Amino acid sequence: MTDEQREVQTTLSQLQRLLESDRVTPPTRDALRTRLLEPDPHRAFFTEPEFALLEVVSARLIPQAHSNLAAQVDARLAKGEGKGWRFDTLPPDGAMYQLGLRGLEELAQSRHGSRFAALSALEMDKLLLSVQRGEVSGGVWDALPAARFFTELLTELTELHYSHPLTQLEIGYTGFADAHGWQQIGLNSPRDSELER
Amino acid sequence: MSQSSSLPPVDAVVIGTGAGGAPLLARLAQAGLKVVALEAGRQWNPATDFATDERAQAGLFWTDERLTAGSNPTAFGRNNSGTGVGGSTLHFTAYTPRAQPDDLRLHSEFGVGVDWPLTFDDLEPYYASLERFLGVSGPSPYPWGPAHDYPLEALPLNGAAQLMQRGCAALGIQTSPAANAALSGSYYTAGVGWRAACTNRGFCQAGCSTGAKASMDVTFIPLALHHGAEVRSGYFVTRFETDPATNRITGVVYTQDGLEQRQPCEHVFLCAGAIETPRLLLLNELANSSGQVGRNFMAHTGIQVWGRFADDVQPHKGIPGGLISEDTHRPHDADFAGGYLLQSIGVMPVTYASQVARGRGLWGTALRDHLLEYNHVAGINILGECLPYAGNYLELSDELDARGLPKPRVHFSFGDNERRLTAHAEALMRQIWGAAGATDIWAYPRSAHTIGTCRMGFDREDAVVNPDGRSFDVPNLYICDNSVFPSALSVNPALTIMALSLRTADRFLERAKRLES
Repeated sequence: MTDEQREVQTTLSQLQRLLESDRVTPPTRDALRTRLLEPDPHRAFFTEPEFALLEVVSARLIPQAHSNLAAQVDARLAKGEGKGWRFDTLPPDGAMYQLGLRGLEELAQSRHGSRFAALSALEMDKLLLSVQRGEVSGGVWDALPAARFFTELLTELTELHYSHPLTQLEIGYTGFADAHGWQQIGLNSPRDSELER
Repeated sequence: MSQSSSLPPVDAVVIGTGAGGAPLLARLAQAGLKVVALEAGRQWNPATDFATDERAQAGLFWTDERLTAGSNPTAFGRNNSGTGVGGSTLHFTAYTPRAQPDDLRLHSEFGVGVDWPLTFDDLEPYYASLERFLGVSGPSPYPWGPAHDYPLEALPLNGAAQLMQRGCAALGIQTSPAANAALSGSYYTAGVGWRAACTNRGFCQAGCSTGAKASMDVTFIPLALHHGAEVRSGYFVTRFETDPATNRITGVVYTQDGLEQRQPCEHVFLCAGAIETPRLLLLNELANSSGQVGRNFMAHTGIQVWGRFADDVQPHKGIPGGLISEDTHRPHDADFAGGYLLQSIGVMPVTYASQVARGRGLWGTALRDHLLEYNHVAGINILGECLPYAGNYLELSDELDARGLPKPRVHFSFGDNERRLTAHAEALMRQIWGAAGATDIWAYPRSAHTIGTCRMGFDREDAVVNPDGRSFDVPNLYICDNSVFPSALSVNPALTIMALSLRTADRFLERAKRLES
């Protein structure tokens, strides 16, 4: 076991103790337990190559994710769920992601004569950065606003990652253990001392 | 189309149960009318349904897709649109400042925008009774605008509020604990019962599980039920039936679980918010002889400035907006019309991470490193005036939603006034955070609330409803929500929507009495 894996194991047992305690309300416990334990959903929206590419991109944007973020994006699109709005200049989310992924492959081909997944990490990041800055054109990118696509994908992956209770513990957030409320809320209050009893 | 069945007639149908619909529902029921509220969303049980988890609470938001256009396209969903019995008050931050008298006279004062067809004196008694009924916590006296007290003492300040206090004190800007409709002590209201004090969970924007926040589902809805109103949840209104001879609405058609029903009624109160209200009218080609339905869409300028502090902030604790300043209501060095208020902001982790992704574009280790400092961040935001412009409007698109209805498309671009106001506010907030000791200060431009689209006015040529909220075209149709606001106001809108709601009910009842005698 690496140091990093050991750290995750420690965080996981801390989290499980916390979730079983009366500091967490039943609906909160249900939601977090499901997220922690539920297996990744099966691919239902993207094609296999699209999905594989999304996983590769996701690993560049959010390294060290605690769950398969691509699988969760796929599941959302398969269910037809959304955030309630969409930029008028973008196609529906699913089509937007599919187009953007195709655009990434096009760029990898035109700039490196290679598949995106076969690029080095540095090459991938440079390519992603040019999409983020909107400094791409030709093919898909003549129809799809590159920077908007990038921001939508990054924002969705970020929300999924920071919704994971292990990620939340890592950044020092234990606000979900609020069944008894908070007595000390001002600056430099003891950090959730109640939780350490 | 599935079969349509008809129900026994009622005096009034209220469409929507948020800040516009719930207060008038209660008042009409109290006056003895047979009233039915139709709510598109579901009835929640906060204690057993609401998790302290942002993702699990996604169901509180209106997620039927809306198209957003213009050069400053505004976000919907969790930014400004709730669903469920209680409407957007389920996720509102419960900021309840009153509008100031000059907010209602923007055109008289600056020669831009429009004046309201009513005055502060028309609203003041409603503000006062609402603050008592909801149990607003705040400073007594409140330091800005006409003096008034609050029934409950102010809620405690969290870390972000203390930091803003520190920064503002250094710059000589007056601050005060905010007026907030969450209870600082347990509170009894006739017809509602006891509600417990706020426990500082800080989760106001994703559902209060304790009932301390005065969302409509724990205040006016129980009062309405107590007085005999009926609330039907999960009912989505699609059509109005009208009598061509009188132009009156004779029935409201809605679907539930794919089944169509018809509710015959004497009067309709349309309170579905500044997007769904005009959308429904446009779909039905109703109440629009002025051509103003969907026009004059406004969204508050709402730029946020964030900073990192050496202090431990724990930004998830306490009501998010603990501290306020209205010193910028009419800044002396302004190069714009109107003004804004300043509010401290705490934040939940997913919301903050999402804004960092969207606003700063950080990813990989840069994103990770930034978020590791979550417990050291705090924000300030503004709530500022927004003028109506011809180019900012709602229309029906040709894209259909899951119900087969056209999705709305909303065009929104800031004008010079909004840009100047935002620049003024951003510079000031950066100064405040600098004075408070922040590093890594960054701004997140945004707009907040959906306002306008069914403007209230004196003249049927350029307004959709009269000062009582009654349609100029359809004599038994009243509109009450954010859509009737002629101007945006430089304060959070909820208390004013509720005040208009009670006033609309009173004006309706007075008129009914007059017609009887």
